[in-house]
Parts: sequence; C-alpha cells; structure tokens
Amino acid sequence: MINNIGISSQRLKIAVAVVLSGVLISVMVSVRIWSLSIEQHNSLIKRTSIAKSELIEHHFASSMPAIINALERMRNRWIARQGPPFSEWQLDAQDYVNDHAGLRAVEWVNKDYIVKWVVPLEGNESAVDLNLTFEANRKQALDLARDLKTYTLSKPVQLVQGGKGFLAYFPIFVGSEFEGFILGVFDVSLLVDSLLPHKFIEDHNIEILSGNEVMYSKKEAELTYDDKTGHTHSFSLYDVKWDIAVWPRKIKEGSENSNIHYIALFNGVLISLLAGIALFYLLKSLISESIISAKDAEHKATLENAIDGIITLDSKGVIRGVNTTAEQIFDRQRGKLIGQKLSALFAEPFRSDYEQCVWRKEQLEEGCVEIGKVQRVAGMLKNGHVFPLDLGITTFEIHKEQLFCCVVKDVSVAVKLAEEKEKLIQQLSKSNEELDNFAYIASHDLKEPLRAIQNHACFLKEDYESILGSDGVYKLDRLVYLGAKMERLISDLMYYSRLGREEPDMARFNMVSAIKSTQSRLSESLEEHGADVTISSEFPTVYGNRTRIEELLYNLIVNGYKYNLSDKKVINIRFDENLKAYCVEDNGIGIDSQFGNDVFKIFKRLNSPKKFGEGSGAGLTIAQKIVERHGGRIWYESELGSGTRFYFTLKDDNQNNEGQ
Amino acid sequence: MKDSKLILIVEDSDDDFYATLRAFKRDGNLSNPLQRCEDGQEALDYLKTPWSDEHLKPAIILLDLNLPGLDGRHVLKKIKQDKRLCNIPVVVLTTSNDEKDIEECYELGANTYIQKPVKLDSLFEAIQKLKDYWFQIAILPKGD
Repeated sequence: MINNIGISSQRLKIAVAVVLSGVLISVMVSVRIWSLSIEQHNSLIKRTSIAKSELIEHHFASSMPAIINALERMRNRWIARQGPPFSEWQLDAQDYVNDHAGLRAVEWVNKDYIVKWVVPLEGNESAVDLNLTFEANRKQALDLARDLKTYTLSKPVQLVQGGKGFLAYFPIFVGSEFEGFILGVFDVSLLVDSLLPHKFIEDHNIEILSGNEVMYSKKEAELTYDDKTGHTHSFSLYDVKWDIAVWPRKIKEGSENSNIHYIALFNGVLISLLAGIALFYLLKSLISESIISAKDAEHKATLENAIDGIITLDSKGVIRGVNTTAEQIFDRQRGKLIGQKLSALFAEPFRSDYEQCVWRKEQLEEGCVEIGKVQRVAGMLKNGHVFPLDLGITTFEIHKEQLFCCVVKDVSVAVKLAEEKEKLIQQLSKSNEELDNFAYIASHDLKEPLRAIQNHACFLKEDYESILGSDGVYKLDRLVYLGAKMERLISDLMYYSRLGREEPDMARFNMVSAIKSTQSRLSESLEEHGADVTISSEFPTVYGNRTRIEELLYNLIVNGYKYNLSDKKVINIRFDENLKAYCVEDNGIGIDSQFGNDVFKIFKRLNSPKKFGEGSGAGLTIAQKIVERHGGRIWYESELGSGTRFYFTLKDDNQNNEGQ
Repeated sequence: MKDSKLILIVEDSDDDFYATLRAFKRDGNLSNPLQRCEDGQEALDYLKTPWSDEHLKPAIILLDLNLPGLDGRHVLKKIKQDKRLCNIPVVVLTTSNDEKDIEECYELGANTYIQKPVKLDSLFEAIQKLKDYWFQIAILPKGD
C-alpha cells in the first residue's frame, strides 16, 4: 500500500509536470502564432503600404512626363504659331488642365516674369499678374530655364493658390526672341487625390515629402509612422527627390485586426488550459486505473498463492470464489465449488451445523460460527475422505452486501504429527520412568543378596574362625570389604537415579546457614583431616532444595580436603559477583587439565584410593546432577598443586517475583 | 516364666531373617517366642486368626516393606485400620531409606522406621537396641 501511494503520487507529479509543460508549450505556441500572425498581418499591411507607395510613384512617374510632354508640345505649338491668340491658347490649356488632374493651372508668363494668362482662371485668380520674381526659388528656376532654353522644374513651393506643388517652366523662344514661359502649376494634392481611388486614400495615411518639405499630407488619425506597417518610397523625378510615406490608419488597424489577434491569443491560451486540465484528469484516471489494476493483480496473486485456502461466500453462505489452494484442499475444480454451499464441503456434524447457519454477522456471532476465530472442523472430499480442517471466518461489506471470507487449512499432517509427537512423548516418558524404576529396583534388589553374602561371610567367620585360620579370616574380611564397596557403589547409583526422578521441594534459604550445617555435619571429619571451612563473601538468598544443596556442598567440601596434601587444608566458600556463581575453592592437589569434564563422570576416579582414601567416584557426578536439577551449571578451574575452584550457579526463577 | 511377648517378623528373605534371628539371639537369652511370615498375605492370615495360647497375639511386629505379593505398606495399612490389631507396635525394618517410604509408613501408622544397617555389626547393634527399647523401656499395651 505504501508503495502504491508512493507510485501514485510520483505518477501524479509526473502527470502534473507533463500537463503543465504541455500547457506552457501550448501557450507559448499560441503566443508565437499570435505574434507571427501580427507580424504577418503587419507585413501584409506593409506590403499594401509598399504597393500603395509604389502606385503613387507610378502615378507620379507616369503623369508628370505626360504633363511635361504635353506642356512642351504646347510651347512648341506656341513657337510654331509665333504667339497664338489667347482664345486658342486658352482652349488648348483648358484641355490640358481637364486631362491632367495634377495640373492645377497652365499659365503664360511674359518675359518680365509676370503671369499674364491663367487657365483656368477660377481658383487661380491670385496668380493673375503675379510677378514671379517675388520669390528667389521661382526666379532662379525661371532664370535657369530661360538661360538654358529648356524646361525647368522648380523646387517644391507654396502655391499662391494655396496648397503645395511645383512649377514647370517652359521658355519660349520664337527665333531668338524670348517671349516668356509656359508655366505648368503642379498641385501635389490634386495629383495625388486624382490619381488615387477614394477608398485607397481612406485606408491609409499618406505623406509626401520633397526634401524636408511636406508636400502632401492626408492623415485622418494621429498615428505616427511605423516602419513595421508603413513604407516610405523614395524616388527621384526630374532631379527632384520624393519621399512617399504610406501607413495604415490606427483606428482601422485597431478595430479590425488587433482584437482578433487578442481573441485568438485568448482562445489559444484558454483552449490550452482546458486541454491541459482535461489531459490532467485523463492521465490521473489512467494512473489510478493502472494502480488499481496493479493492486488487483497483486491481490489476486497474493490470494492465489496463499498457502491457505481462501473461500469467499455471499450473504447466503454460497461460495462465490476460491483460490487454488482451496481447490487443492477439497480436490475439486473451481467451477464445481462456486455456487455450492460451504456446508457441502464439511463432514458431519459440521455439515448440519453449517447447513443451519444463518449467514448474518449478528447471528453468526451467537450461533455456530465465531467470526474471526479459528475453529477445527472436518472437511470431506468427494470420495468421503474426512480430514481435519482449520476454519477462520471474517466478514466484510461490498456495496451494502454482507460477504464472508473463509480461510481454510488442511491440518491432517499437523494433526497426525501432533498425535505422533504426543505418542512419542508418552513413550519416552514411559521409557524414562521405566529406566528410573529399573535403576532403583535393580540397585535395591542387588543390595539384598549382596548384604546376605556379607552377612554369611561374617557368620562364617564368627562360627568357624578357629578352623579357618588367619588366611581364611583375611579372605573373609576381604569378602566383606568388597561387598561393602559394592554396596556403596549401588547406594550411590540409587541416590543418583533418585536425584533424576524426584521433583525436589524448592524454598528460599540462607546459604550461610546451609554451609554452617554442612560444616557441622562434617565437623569430625574436618577435624580429623585438619581442614577448615571459611566463608569470604556475602551470599544471595538461595532458591532450591536445601537438603540437596547441602549434599552438593558436602561433596565439594569433602573433595576439598580429601584430595589435599597441604598442612593447613582450607576450603573457602564465596559468591563471585562477576561470574554470578558460587565458588568452593581449596588448596588441594588440583586437577590435571587433561581430565576436563571427566571429573563429573560417574565412578570416575582420578587418584589411587590408597593415596587419598576410599570413594565411589560419584561425588562430583551427584554434585553436577544437583546443580542441573536446580537449573544451574557447574565447572571448575584448577592449577595442579595449588588448588581447585569449583563454581556453580543456581537458577533463581522467583527472583523477579519476590524481589529478595 | 516364659515371656509370652511374641515377636512377629515379616520377612521374605531367608538370609535377612537369619541375620535378624542371629541378632536377636546374640546375647544368648531370647526368651520371647518368634513367629516368621514370609510374605504379606501370610502375615495377614496369621493376624486374622483368633488368638489362643498356641496362636499368640504379637507384642510387636517387625515388617519388611518389599515383600512378594502384598507388600509391607499394604500389610501396615491393614493392621492400622483393624481395631483389633492397631495397638500392636509395628517396626518397619527395611533396606529402603527413601524419604517417600519413610513418610508414607509413618502416615500409615508405623511406630518406628529402621533402615536395615548394611554392616552386620550395625544390624546386631540395632536389633539389640530395638529389643532393649521395646521390651525393657517401652510399656506395651496388654494382650487380650
């Protein structure tokens, strides 16, 4: 589960990252498209601007030479006619003005630079009788034209009729006689207005400059010229430099185009976000589905591979699902199990019990089934084989339906093993008991004839001593002695066997008092051997059988002085705090390390009886048995010639309870 | 006067009986009559039979515990449960020194428990002391 949560949150994080980056990229693309669209739009506008500026130039370039050629022809006709009458010239001029829109007026200027004839007169009244020398620019052009005898264009000028334009002067020489000029007044506004369709003008702002002089300006809104959308076309015509700036009008650009881009941008971003959110939820559901399906697979695998049989029941106790182990336990295919009642899998009396079960949680708890508790029932195979079965039932709810999950385990093997174990334990304890009894009875029964042999030897000696002689008496004595020795061996064996059989009464007692009492029991013997028992520490309270513990001390003390050649034999008893063990140490002969644990073997003697006196060789064996019966351990440390330390521990199993 | 204080010895082992008898006769003047039963059943049979001059009521019973058939514990129990017999002192004389046996015997009403000494000298001494105690020192109930 923890792992799944980890995977789930990790996957969600990845999904969020993917979606966010998707949205970001999408928004960036939208913005890019938006800016590209604006750029494209701008370049489109610019192209229009270029086209318009070129168109204007084209108009300029085509109109002006036409006018100039026309005016030149007029001058030539003037020369040919040697001064035409005004009426004729007027008609001629009127035609020109009508035909060429840029031509504001055609005038005749006399040789004194005074405007004499003006066609049309209307709108050009101010030009009549105008002395053109009033302005340097004009006069210079006139002078230049007259001197070069060829037509000359003035620099852009402020027309006297209003507006801006330029003048074309055509000097008239009849022979060598200078008769003034034909003067064409070009009005840029007229030229442009007439040349361009009305719509064209409406769409764009146009500014025409010659040099720094604004010759024409048609701006409907205050929009500064921008090179992105506008275009300035420069060209030279008759040595006059022209700049035609054309750019779209702001208001139109704003109302028609800008919003569309922003709407497109907004839409793009919005769609990206919506798509992102949709994608996120899609991914999320995909992830959780994949996790759920992974969990399902995991659960399924767990159930299928469970070592216990698992059976799910519906609310009526009918099987609706089993795992492989359940199939194996009941030796039936899944299909044959599903749809059956659970009770059909059991042997009597469980079959009837479960048949009668009302499969509802409350009733189950009161009735035959205890929810959540494993009980032993009997399963039955198709062939009638009955086997022990452990059954645990739990309940759960899915979609308000009460369902049950049964865990079943074929315990045939376990039961059989337990029975066999029980049988073996019984056999073993019986055999142990028999062995104990055997040792006891055998040794007891051995004693009787032995004693009789001894007794009869004694009687023989008493009754027939004189006949037997000293040799016979010695042999009888020897017989008695050996009998006594065997008797002792048997007694020790009996005692040893009894130690293994009995459950001694345990009690708490003071170790010092046990030592003192053992000491007093041995007092004569100790005195005889010149030995002393000392105590050199405090002792914890002992929990054990006092008689046996004294027996233990007895054996160790006796060993301590018996195998001892010191003048002053000392057996010291103390409690070793480090080892948590009791220690009986002597200054005796020590034990050769080669003997190891042999010293504890029954009837094992390490020394000759002649040197250290008689003993059965069971003392340490008995001591070890006593210690073991007290849950302890006995061991020794020894240096040959300087003494032996016997350590033993006693298990104090009540220490914690009584806290003494 | 012949001492009529009968000593009943319940002992299956001939050797032990011989040793005990020898111990009793050691100071040379055993005036008491002696009766031996070899097993528990025989002892109970003897005790069930009405007393007469030829069939004396025992003044004391020396009882071995380990007997063939009915064992000494059973005999002891029967004696102490029988109103007619329960006032007869019973001395358990056995090789066993098992604490359980000792306890059980006293619980059943044994008057003395003696472990048969291993050494003959000790046996002689023990029997002598027993004789002295029960026939010289202790006052026994009157026979009926």
